[in-house]
Amino acid sequence: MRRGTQEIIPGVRTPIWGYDGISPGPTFKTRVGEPAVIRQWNDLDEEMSVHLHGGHNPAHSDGHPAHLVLPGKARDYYYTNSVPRVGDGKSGPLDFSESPSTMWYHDHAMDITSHHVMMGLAGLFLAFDETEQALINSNVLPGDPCDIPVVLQDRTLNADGSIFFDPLNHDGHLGDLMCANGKVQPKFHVQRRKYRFRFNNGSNARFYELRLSNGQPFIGLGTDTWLYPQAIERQTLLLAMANRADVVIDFTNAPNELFLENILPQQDGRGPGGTLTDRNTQIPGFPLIKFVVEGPPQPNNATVEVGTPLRPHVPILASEIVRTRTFEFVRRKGAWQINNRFYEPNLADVCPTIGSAERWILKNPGGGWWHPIHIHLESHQIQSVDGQIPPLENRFKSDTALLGAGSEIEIFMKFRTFKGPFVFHCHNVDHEDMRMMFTFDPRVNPTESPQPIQQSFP
Amino acid sequence: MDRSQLIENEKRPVSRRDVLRLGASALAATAFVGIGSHESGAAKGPGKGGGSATEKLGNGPTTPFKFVPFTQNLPIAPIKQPLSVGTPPAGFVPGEVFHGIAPEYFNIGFDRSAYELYPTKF
Repeated sequence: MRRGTQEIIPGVRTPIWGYDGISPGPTFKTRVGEPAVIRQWNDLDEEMSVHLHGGHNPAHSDGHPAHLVLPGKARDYYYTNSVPRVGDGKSGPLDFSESPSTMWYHDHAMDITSHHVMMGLAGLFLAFDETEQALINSNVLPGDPCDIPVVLQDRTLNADGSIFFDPLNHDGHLGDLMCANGKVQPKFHVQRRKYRFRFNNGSNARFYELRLSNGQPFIGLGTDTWLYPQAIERQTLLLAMANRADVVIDFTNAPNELFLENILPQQDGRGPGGTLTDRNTQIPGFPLIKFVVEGPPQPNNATVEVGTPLRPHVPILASEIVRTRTFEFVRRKGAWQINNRFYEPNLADVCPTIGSAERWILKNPGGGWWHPIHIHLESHQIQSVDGQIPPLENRFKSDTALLGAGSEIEIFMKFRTFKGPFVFHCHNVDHEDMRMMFTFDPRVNPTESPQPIQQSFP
Repeated sequence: MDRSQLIENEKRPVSRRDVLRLGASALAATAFVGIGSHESGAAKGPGKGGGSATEKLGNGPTTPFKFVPFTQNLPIAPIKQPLSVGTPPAGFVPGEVFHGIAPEYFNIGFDRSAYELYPTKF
């Protein structure tokens, strides 16, 4: 982690903080089942914590907000790149429906995540298991060089070219520069064939709903970290902060110029207008990337289409649920709370039992605020949104559930493999910094909560 | 770092940690002095496909630079190559960097006299 300089705007040199000094940081490509150790050196002035978002990893390597890499120091992150076991997670075969595909890594240091992410500390972390690699090898899915990670972030620049950040804005900063992979409104030259895009909303507080300007649908491969059981059609891609959309765009018959646009206007950190199910979208939207489509249709195009089998899904069943908990996400005392409490890093707010499944009700009682709720360690399965079955793309596995204004979400979740502490929080990182975060601390034996955290790796 | 140092230090942006150290109320009156000045008149330059030059995109100051959109190529982040596969890389000793209690953090970060760790005064 070190300083760097980038031209977000052509000709304007902007100091950034980046992994390896670039933003987004380098993309990691790993194999599921092959552990990796990543040594992170902190050459910056403030403490850091590197969270692998979507990873199923031990607490000491998760990027907990209080497990820090101090300035001038290094920390080893041990990524097991493993998947949990089916059932209670203690025995039986491995649950390969949990094989990760599209993760991202970003700073998660307590109080200061928002500033660090705004400065550029984010990147993509991809993993491939045998199923996915076979789909690539057999040309079902596009592979390199047609597998394109894209981090979407908004920025504002000061007159000296530096990145603007307002530490007193606790609601959520929206920049006026719409950037993709660190460039404002770039272009991308493509051939007439299918490309896979891993779109990641790496913004602090901006929501996106992505659409292709010609109305062409995307072929959806996955939400957040995980692949769907089969490819689905998606007209638009709603991306709350931290969400990922793993999609294929087929440029074979596309016009020579095509735009990826954001059709979800937003005025402040509160969130977009409308409700989760009736959003105030605007078509045409704001163009983020211009695709310049060149040449004749390419031979050997990837064969994926809507309905193509991808990775079988193993659902969490209602019969497995042993406990229900309710969490309310509220604005209070000028900052952000869960169940009327600020984040306290030494307190285990929730102590699930390892190997069990729970039903969590996430409530947003009002105020018009939108909160994308990210839960570390495990995927969760969204059962309902405001009492309704969620859209198809959200019925499988997610790691960040969007809690719209006045919404209520029901999720199923398992706690497997690792003891805590882990956290869950709003991924409007200004809300997160201002304490809309809780600790869950899976334990071997049933334990009532709250409790002191069971282990610490500061 | 006292408040005057903070405000005069134009090379280093004010961080939320600085605010917590100083106390939000104490900094509120002068906070923006150290963040950088802002000019108006940025061009959004949305180009073909939607948006307008007058559209307000951000909720802070306006970026004071004009640009023509879609002139830069989308960069693709490089793939991070492993130092070694199967064996530790030369000079790499697991555990040689701290991976447990770090006393220096508590000396630096948990000095509660310097700032309020948990915001309760809003």
